[in-house]
Amino acid sequence: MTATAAPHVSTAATGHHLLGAASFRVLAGLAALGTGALGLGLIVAPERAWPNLLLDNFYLLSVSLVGVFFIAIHRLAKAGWPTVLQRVPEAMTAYVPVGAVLMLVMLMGVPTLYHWSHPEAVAADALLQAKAGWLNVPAFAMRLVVVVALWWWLGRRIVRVSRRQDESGAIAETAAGMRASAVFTVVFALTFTIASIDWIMSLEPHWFSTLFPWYVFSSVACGGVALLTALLILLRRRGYLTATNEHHVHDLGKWVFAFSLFWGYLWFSQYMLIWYANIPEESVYYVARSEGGWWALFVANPIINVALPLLLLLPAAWKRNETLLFWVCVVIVAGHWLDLYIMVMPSATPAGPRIGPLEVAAVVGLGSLFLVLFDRAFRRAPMYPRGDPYFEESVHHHG
Amino acid sequence: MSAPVVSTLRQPLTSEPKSCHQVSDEILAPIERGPTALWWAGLAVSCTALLIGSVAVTHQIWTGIGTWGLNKSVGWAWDITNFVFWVGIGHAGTLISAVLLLFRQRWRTGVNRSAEAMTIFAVMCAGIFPLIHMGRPWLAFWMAPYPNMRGPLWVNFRSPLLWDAFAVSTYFTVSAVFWYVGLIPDLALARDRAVGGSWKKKLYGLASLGWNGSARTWSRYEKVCLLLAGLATPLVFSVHTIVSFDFATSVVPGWHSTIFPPYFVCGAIFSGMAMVLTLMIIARRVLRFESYITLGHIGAMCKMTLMTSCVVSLAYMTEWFTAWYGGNPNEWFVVVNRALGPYRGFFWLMVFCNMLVPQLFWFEKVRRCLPAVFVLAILVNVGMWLERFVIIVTSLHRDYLPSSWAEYSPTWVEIATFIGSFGLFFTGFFLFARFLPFIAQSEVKGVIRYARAPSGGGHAR
Repeated sequence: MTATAAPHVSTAATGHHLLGAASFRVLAGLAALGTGALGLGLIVAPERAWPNLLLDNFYLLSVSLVGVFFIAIHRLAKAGWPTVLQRVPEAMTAYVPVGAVLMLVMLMGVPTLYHWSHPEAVAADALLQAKAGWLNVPAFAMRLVVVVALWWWLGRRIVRVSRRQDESGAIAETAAGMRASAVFTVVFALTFTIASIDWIMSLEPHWFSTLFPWYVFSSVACGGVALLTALLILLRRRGYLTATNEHHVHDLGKWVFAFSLFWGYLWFSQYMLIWYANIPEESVYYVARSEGGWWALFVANPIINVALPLLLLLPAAWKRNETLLFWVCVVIVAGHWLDLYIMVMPSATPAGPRIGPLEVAAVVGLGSLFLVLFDRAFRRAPMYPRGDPYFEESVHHHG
Repeated sequence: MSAPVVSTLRQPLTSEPKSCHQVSDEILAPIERGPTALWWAGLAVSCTALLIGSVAVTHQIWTGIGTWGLNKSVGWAWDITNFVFWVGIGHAGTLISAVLLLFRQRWRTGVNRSAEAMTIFAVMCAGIFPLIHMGRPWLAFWMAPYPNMRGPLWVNFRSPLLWDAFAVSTYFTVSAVFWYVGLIPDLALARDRAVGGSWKKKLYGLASLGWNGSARTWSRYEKVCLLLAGLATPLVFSVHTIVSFDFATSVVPGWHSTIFPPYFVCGAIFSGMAMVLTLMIIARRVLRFESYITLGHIGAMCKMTLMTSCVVSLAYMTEWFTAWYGGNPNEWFVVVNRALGPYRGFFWLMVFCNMLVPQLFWFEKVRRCLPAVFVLAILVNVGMWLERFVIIVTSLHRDYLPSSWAEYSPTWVEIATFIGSFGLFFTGFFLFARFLPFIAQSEVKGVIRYARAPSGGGHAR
């Protein structure tokens, strides 16, 4: 099929941005203030600040990696439709280096965060002694360095292929992109498994669940795809990426819906099997989360993250309603932060959730940093990957 | 309507340009030309296998399931292995027909009909095993929760074995309806082409439910297909999820693992894709459908096999790691016993077939070499059968009490029943290939122009 030029794709694609000059400055200020306050908190109230850094940075880092993952799986499946909006997930990856560095910073918080890192605790605990071959500080640090380095390097490779193709338009770059995507996907599956076991599951070092890495992945995948959708809708409202149409929005809505149901499936599978078998060494995890102050959040989690998208995104017309979809996505992004909060925090504050200035500062600071980095990366790249051989097909996407 | 814009990288979905008339002729040819000697031979072999199975089934129902090799420790073995094996096979058909429809994978049109047929026969085969295992299969209706006179006797809603009965029967019903609805326009074509007044015309006419091909009929047809695809997609997940609950809700080491639901679903698709590959490689040749089930189709299914193999491998590794990490000596014993115990040969063959063999599908040369794909697909089928056997038997045969450790080997009755299930499967499949359109011709007609220049010729590779 001969590719005809799409008439409605403006060629003057410069000056595109998510944030106006004023809001950029405000968000940059908030990012500085919030991360500054969090940094101060690491010194003043370490037992509270470190879990917040882990929670927020892990969420944003994972979400930005979902940007890479989104590109990778669509490249592998030879999907044509998302090419036109590819700069959005690409710009989401701008947080990866920052997130990687903050993960390295987190190494200093290991004694505060992880009970197993205390030699005296291990000495008194047969189970921790049995796990010491895996759960020890040097091995943990080494795995962390390797994991974040791989993410940084492989994520960059995928974005770079696309930029090279902008200039050359060479079809060979598509093949290179597929190879990079295959490598990323395989490595990501292994490294994310390790990361979620090390960084999140080992917060409660006695507990284990074979599903846990996939569960964490499904959660951040929901958050990532919902964030991508929300950002695309914002950009469309600002008058950019107008070559996307209602079918692209609809397809993203389908992804949000599908990932939400997948998350719900895994949430149910893990909970139900542990509840049914009722073995103390496993059920202790849910006991801690369904008692005291944690109960309300624990119940709210599946309502926000499954029931809401199931009810609001099932009809096709509702997925195409950008205002509705936008707000559902915002709620889901927050909802999966909540899910991660329920995974991380009970080991730090067993009595119940505590939301104070420090928690707000961490969320606002790192969240603003994410948006500022996203905006900067989005401005710098051409708005469309015109050199991509799937570009015309993507522009003419109609369901 | 103008032709849709597609990338220059897209390949046509049939290997040579086709007209609609040609598609009708070629796809209905196996029905219209009558049975070949090869078909009779195939049917004879599968009927023989079915007969062997029937004898064995009659014998074990007459005598009781004491004819099996089960013992005090191994209470589930070949029966449940075969049940899970066959249910798993079915999943690829539903995935191709429903999930790939939602994902707009147009290549599915070449293989969906036969893959769905495979699903239906595979689920039938699966049903045999738990039915016989009940011991008194004539009381199978007791599983239905209807008001009864047996006192306050209700089915045990807390048992995943009961959930299985609901899940599998729902799955079978929806799959059969989906398959049949898809067949209607094709049956109507067979009706319209049959000689007036013949029994063929009457039967196909009855089966096509008065299909008239009007725009309104087509519109309803497409809506029904989309709805059924939406219904069938959760069923792809639910059936094998509940099969995995049969094991994972227990407290048996090696069975109770939270990763089981998604891992079983993925394993099911893995084994089913391998079975579809096995069947298609033969069918395209024998039925002369090489231009409809192209190397592109085979390649796409190889990639699905590779992907699911990688996910299954990740699940294996997560299980082994967690068995050690969890610190429960009984869990760790199961892993060690699988790898080094009396069934180690099965275990390592499973690792070879499911984790290593599919890695060859990374190479396009392998994906395009049909003999290689055929052999690899069969190895995956073997590997997935072994996986279920390893999970079931090695978790049971050495339990907490060493005095009750026992080993299991199948009796001739169990082997013959398994052979019989293959007989049922292939008899069904041969009859399907002979009497029903093997490829969804109406859907193929919708994609014959895909990625071809309007003049009708494909563009150069």
